[in-house]
Amino acid sequence: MVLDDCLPVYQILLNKKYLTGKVMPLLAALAVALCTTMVLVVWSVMGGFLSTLLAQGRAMMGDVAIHWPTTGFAHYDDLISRLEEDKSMVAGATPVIETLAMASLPDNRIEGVQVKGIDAASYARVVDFDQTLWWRPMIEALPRDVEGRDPRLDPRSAERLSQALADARAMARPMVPGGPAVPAAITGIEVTGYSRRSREGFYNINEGLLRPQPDGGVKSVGSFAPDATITLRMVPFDEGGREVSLVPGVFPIANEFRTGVYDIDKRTVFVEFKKLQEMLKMNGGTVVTRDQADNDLFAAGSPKATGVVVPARATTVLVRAAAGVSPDALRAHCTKVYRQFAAAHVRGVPPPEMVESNNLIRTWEMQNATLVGAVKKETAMVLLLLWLISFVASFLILAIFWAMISEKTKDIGTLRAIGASGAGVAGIWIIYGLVIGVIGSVLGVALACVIVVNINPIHEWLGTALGLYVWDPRVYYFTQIPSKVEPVRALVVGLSGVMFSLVGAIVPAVRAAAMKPVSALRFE
Amino acid sequence: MIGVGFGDLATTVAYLHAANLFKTYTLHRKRVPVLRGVSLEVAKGECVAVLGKSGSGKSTLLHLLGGLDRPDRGGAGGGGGGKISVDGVDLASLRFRSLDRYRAQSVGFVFQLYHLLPELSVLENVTIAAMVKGGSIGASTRGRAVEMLGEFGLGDRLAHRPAELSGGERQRVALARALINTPPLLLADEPTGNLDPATGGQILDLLDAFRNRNSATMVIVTHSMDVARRADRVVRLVDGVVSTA
Repeated sequence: MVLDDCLPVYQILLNKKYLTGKVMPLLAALAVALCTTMVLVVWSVMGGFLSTLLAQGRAMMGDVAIHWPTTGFAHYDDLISRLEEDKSMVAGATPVIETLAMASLPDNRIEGVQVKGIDAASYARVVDFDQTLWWRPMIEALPRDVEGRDPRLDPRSAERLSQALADARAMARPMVPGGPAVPAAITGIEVTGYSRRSREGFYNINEGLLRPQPDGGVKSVGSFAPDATITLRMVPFDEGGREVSLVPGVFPIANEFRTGVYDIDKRTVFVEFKKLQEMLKMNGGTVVTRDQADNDLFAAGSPKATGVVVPARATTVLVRAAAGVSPDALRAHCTKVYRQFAAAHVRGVPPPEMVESNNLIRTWEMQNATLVGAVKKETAMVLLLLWLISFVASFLILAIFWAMISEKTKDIGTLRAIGASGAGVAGIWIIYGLVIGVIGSVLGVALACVIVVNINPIHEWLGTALGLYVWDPRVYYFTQIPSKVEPVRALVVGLSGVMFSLVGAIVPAVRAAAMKPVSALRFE
Repeated sequence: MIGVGFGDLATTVAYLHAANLFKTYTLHRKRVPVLRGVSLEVAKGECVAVLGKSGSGKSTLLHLLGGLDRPDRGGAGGGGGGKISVDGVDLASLRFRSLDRYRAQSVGFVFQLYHLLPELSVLENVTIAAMVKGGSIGASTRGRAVEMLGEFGLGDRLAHRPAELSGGERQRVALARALINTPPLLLADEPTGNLDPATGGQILDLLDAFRNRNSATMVIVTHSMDVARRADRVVRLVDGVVSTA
């Protein structure tokens, strides 16, 4: 075997000369770098967007939800105890009641919302609810609020905001100033329309809210949601799924929360678990039954007491995974525990077969499969398009190498004359492509890292200097553009850049290898 | 086929043996015969000059002897089936890689137009032949190249590029590249064709010195009678066939 095939010494020498002596290969490396940067920046931002979405969702909903909608299931406290037995899998579990309600908002609009009854103490162990409470005194402005216009920074509001935070944690607030504290609601920050999101990411208190007046006109007033009340009208169902009556409840708003997921922030209202359980007749010991034929919800005497005692119910148990346990692993664990739980309460709780067949033990990602799936598909589509565009870099390298090989035809003939093999000559161009790919990819990944890490200041500068705000927090879920480069993504994109360069080099290399030495020497 | 008389060398064992070589090129769908049955024997250490006009097939013959191209294979309706053996090895039996190795180890080529690699320095243009032959090169090879270039009067031009050299200097670099591996067979294609007589004479002196020192076998293609006179023997190539000089 010719030694030059295994020790590419002369190929390396020629590559060194070609790389340092010509501009075109450097342009090719620049093309690879720009393509690499483009793909990695987009993937990091969109991938970060998805990761943040999932993280925010988990923060609000736990890792896994065991769900039996509307009527709920009994003995949930036993299920929670069983789940919390294995500390290696479960960090905590909490009961939740989820129902739909028609909400009379402070400005007299009526909208459909999802009401969630939560037990503040156990709920805080499962989700990072406290962090989402919006109205609280702030010392440090949000990153984009360079002028410090966030109302939470105003020291004159600190006392009121502290009270709102305390009220939210207690889930109670006086209905009128100085009155006794009553169960309160915490509304998503987009629910009432009182708070308007600014481009900097904070919420202004709406100063121009129109309120109807007795004379038929309207008046513009300033409004702060934690000073207002919300009326929720809900339909309780008995354990058999039969509606009982329409229940209205007036709640003072203690605070507002913001998850960053618009659908949640626009449609969710939290109330105290026991209060909601009572309103929905899901509390333990409640005697609820009525004639099957009696379909009149508002008929006097309905429901009729029969003396039958039913246990308290919850519609959902949220579970938080122990450290290092994936949502999918937790889901499998919950499924196993639920089977044991159902076996201990035969006919008292939904059978596990029904729960499983209806896919009612779900991770947050499964619960929001449509939203998450759409973001994933969008990310995949954009990446595919960008990768196709990046393939252009291959053709650029192909064209550059093709031209260089034409220019170097005589040199190839000379190399063949002094004994270089066809494979050895091809190796020159393969190594050349590899080196250009590596240089371009390293530069591209480095540039992408710089851009992604500084993407928010860059975006801020674009907005200030050119008025170009692409990422508007009023439109997107999050205030900040995701700015983290995953090492695996950087590696995949970098290797792709090298691969595209190699692909571009292969055809010219094969051409060089296939040249007849005599023809190459005689080339004019 | 026209045979070649070898005079007093005819009885010696041939180092290079070429018999019945045909070569035809196809240009614009037209077959152009270049060699039409050439036979040649060269003894070890002998220097043979091949004289002929342009287009007589001199360079083609040299390319075949050096393994850069292969003669036509024999077939119905035409000549062919020629054979080349060098030091007892039939070149036709060598596969591509073995032919590459043959060129790297056994043949030194010198071209009329030098064919130096423009990006490489003088020293690199010489050592690259050693790299092709043996992969990485050591200090001894590099030292030998420096020494040889010094002998060729290029000791102070080692770092220069070919574009910075005169024609004579370039040909001396090309010669050093051909000789760095001490090949037993040297094939020179019009080595003085682009040089003035004095400079050409220097190149021929260097070739002679190398041959005398290493008992190398040489085939020099030329149309210069001055060059031919310095050879042991002259072979004339006329219209693709050999006539006795």
